[in-house]
Amino acid sequence: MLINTVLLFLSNSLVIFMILALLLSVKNKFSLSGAALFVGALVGVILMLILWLCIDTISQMNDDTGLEWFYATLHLIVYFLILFFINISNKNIQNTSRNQKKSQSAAVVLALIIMLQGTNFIVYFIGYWSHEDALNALFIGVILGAGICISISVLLYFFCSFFNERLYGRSTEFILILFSCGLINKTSDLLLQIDFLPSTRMIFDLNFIVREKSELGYFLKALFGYDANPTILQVGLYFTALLVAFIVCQLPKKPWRFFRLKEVIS
Amino acid sequence: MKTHAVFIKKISIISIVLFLTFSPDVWAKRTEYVLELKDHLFFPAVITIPPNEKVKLIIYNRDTTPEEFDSFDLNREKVIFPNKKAVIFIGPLPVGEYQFFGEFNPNSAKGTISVKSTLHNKEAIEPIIENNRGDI
Repeated sequence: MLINTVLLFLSNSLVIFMILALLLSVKNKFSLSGAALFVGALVGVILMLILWLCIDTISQMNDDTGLEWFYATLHLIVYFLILFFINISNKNIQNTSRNQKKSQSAAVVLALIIMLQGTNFIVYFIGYWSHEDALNALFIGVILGAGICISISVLLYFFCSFFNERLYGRSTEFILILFSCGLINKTSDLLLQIDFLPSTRMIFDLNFIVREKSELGYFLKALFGYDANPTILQVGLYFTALLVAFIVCQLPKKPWRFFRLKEVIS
Repeated sequence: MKTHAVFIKKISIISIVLFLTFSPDVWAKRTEYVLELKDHLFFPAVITIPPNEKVKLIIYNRDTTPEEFDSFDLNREKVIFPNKKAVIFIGPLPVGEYQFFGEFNPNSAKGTISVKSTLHNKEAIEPIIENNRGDI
């Protein structure tokens, strides 16, 4: 029960900690409001609890495929919101209205991610905490899981800050783009599961290199939607989403900072 | 030139939507198989399905706690709420054995999808208790 709780916490909550780390790493660069991010997180927690209250009703809608449709729609919204956020952040025009838009879109992304990812764990946590022998394991599991998630997100934060400063000025935006395409991959998984997308056989299986349900697998899945055994349609959708993201985001052409890395090394 | 590009873009989007909506594969009738979860155990623990065919798996959760149907082999994951049912489509699969389990109780809730070529489609498993949708 303890290990299961840790793994479930990791698989569901790592995404929340990672998006928080990514947004905080560009907070100063994009003049994001700390208050807006805090409100976004708070609204996310409230939305998560509201969703938990009505999640079983949603799941029974549309011939028992309601939850997949709900998650797929919100994943698409978050994907476009992230692209919008990067697009307006890349334009070198500083004014209050633009900064507000940036902060608001970042806050909405954070709120939606918390709502989508947190609800699954809440379903497990509240579903089992009435069991006498489960309570201790649940709490210790959450503490251990939170510790691992915080450690990974702190590392990611410093990784992004270092790379933004020393190597590639748009590292965080690049990771955010991969993250948003990961959401498209999750969407395609959901739509395949309810038979909306035509499913074909898996084109490869990378489980022998990185198991999708291992700790590293969870990390890669949260970071860029790692799928060990996708279908050809999923791979096509992923690269289409990546292409659209690069076109929409318009990353600057020369953000390389190798000379600064050389300075550090010398 | 710009109008032409916009027109092509619109046509492409409409084509993709139409392809996905009216694809014969998407709207084809699937054979249904029923699986039940009781006391954190799957009944039946082994389901046999034909190869290279997409099938509909209906899973009833008879427990008072939620469970998550999970399978690495099938690449499927879905939460089933207490006293509710869930629907998952699997396949087309080649002949072989595919493991699945309940992610909330992985030690007890385990099962296998066995894909065999000799099976007739009519061997779909009937539920132990007849249910109304979303009310069991």
